[in-house]
Amino acid sequence: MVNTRAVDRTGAHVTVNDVSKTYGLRGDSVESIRSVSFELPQGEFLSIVGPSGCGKSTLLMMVAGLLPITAGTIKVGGQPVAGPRRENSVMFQTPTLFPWRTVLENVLFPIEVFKGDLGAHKAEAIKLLEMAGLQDFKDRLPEQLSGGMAQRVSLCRALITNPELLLMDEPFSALDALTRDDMSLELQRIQERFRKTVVFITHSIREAVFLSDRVIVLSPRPAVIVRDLTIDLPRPRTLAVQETPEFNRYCAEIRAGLGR
Amino acid sequence: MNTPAVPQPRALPNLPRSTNARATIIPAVVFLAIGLAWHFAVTLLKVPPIVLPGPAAVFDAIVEQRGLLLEAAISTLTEIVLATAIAVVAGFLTALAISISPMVRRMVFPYILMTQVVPKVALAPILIAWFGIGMQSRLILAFLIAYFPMVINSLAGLLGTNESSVRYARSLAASELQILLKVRFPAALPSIMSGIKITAGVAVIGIVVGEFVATDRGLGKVIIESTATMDTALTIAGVVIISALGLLVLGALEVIERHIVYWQPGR
Amino acid sequence: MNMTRLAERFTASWPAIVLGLALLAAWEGLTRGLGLPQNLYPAPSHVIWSLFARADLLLAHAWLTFYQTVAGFLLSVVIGILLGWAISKWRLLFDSLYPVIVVLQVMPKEALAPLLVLWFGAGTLSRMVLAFLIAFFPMVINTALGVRGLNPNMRSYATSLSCSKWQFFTKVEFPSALTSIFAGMKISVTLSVIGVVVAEIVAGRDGLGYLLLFASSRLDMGFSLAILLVLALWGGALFAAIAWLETRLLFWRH
Repeated sequence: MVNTRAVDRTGAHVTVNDVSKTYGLRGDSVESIRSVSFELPQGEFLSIVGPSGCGKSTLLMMVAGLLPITAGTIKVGGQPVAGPRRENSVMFQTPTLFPWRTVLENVLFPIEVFKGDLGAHKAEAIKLLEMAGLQDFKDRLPEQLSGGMAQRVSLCRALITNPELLLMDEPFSALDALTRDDMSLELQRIQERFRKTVVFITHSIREAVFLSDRVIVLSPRPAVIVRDLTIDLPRPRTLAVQETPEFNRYCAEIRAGLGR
Repeated sequence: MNTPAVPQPRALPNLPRSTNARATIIPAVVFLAIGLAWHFAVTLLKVPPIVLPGPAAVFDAIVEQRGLLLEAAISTLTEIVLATAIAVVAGFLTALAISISPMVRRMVFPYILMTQVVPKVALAPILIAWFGIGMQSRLILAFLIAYFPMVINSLAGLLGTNESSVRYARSLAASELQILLKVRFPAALPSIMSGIKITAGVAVIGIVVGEFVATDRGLGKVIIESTATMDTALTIAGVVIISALGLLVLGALEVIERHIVYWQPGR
Repeated sequence: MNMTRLAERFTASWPAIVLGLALLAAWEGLTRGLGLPQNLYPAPSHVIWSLFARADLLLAHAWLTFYQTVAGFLLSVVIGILLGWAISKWRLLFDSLYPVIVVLQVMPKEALAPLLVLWFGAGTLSRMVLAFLIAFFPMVINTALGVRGLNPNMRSYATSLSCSKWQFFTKVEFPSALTSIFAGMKISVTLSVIGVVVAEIVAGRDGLGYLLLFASSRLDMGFSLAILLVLALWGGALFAAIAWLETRLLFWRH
């Protein structure tokens, strides 16, 4: 398959080197991740797939600087990770919008925290909401939104700071299947436009293959990498690509990696 | 209509707690520390015993006056248990009646909620004027204070039954009585037990305040009289014993609850 | 808009209103009809009459009760929130103080009234202290619950923005805890009234609690019930004030 997307390869953006994670004290410890290494070039969309509890969220949190690394190193942009970075944006499974703020105020929240220029960013926020189709809801409160809409607002909020690295922890898991498809298309559109470096956690194999340039498969705990495949499907991808044999071959390979 | 809009003043704290050795050792250490601090503060600062006696003096008072205190404690405890029992039964039956008839509910429930913001302890002097000094006034006072929370909690339980459970029972052609006994009532038990604990708690207050105003018997009387004679050690002893009684009653109810509502996690 | 809402709720509650009026009428009819002595078994009309006939006496003592209640309540809110926040932040503080708080919450603090009168005198201080002691625990507990109940994903998100501790407290923790704090305030305000009344009864010097004692001892039950009515209205007004404040501040809750 011809790769119609040019991926920027001027050095890796994220380097994970022989990273492991252990919880608990000496006698009672749980080895969550045994040894994981990979490099992520700028602008690449990486999905990490694995069974429940295998540590994929843990890995993401370590890249985000929200969890300490037990052994190994993680570098982002050439610098070792020492804590959360403002150049990252993290998205969680649930929207976690603040119920006391309007949609627009929620999207601008990171700017407030960074003490940036709210006025200057307001137009940008509205543009993002337009792109998500939510401009009419900018003055509504989160409780008036459906799950899918709230998660879209959450995505806008993640993009307002123009992050270098987008870290997403199963962001569509809590949504119903139809909304999930819509969100996948939307995320793909955004990625076509902004070409961020993305680490995307999911336990949906089809979602991973559909969205990503590359998929890493983790084993059950203690996690190691069992597959690292490049997804060579042309972009932009429509939902129809999910019926093609190439797509299903990738899915089968991932499923094999998971031992199914 | 599940949780009532009016809050329950005496609901017990339901904070998540660590259930390990830490949970028993640290409190014990803390209480010991408080006791020691009290003792040293009183001796080092040379506080006059009329103002604040040390723990040793309070202990002596308890031992010396154990006859008086025991008699008073029994009187108070009896009244507490009586008032609680009557309030629980009456409260539950009222809630049952209300739950069955929506019209009764619309008529009566707003008033029941409203009584929760009224300081019912203020009834004490009024009841004594009408019914005289004695157990009857105290029981009525405690009953009036304890009855309404029981109604509210029981009603919340009875009305909060999961409708799908009721629908399932109906699909088996169960009679309304069967549904009441086998579905609604067990589902209501956690709220009912909560209600009983709150009821007992406020009944204690009702009896004690009643004893303050109509001092013929009980620990309240001991407290009032000992403050008049400046026997502060005895006063504190009285307060300690009433608190202990309150804890005892609630502890007993917790044990009963764990047996009756055995299916609730985290209890 | 508000008038129609009010009218709606009025018409929806007609059964309760009808019952109330019926009971009042029955009470009035029985006491007057049976020729019962009005001092012992007053009719509602006599109660209202007493209210106005002795208005000056009532107001003088009522003012005292009112401001003691508010003072005790405000103190319990401020200290309760601070302490509740503190214990929810530090695990060790929580583990050590929680059992103390449970014991003290369960203890009938009204029993302390005579002791407090002994220590702080029969004046306003002892009553405000009792109101504070009774009202303070629900504030601590509800604040702790509110702070601890913060959605963990929200916490992670805020951490990922590396916001400062102050930003985190003002923009995330505090607004999120407000619902629980207001629930606590509703409870506390009711308990403040109880505390003040009990202390006034025990101290027996002034305030509505004392006035109640005074009127009842002279078997002037009309006036006693009038005082009770004032206390009930005061409790209701305080509660309504907090509820109103809640609808303004917590605008996002329906």
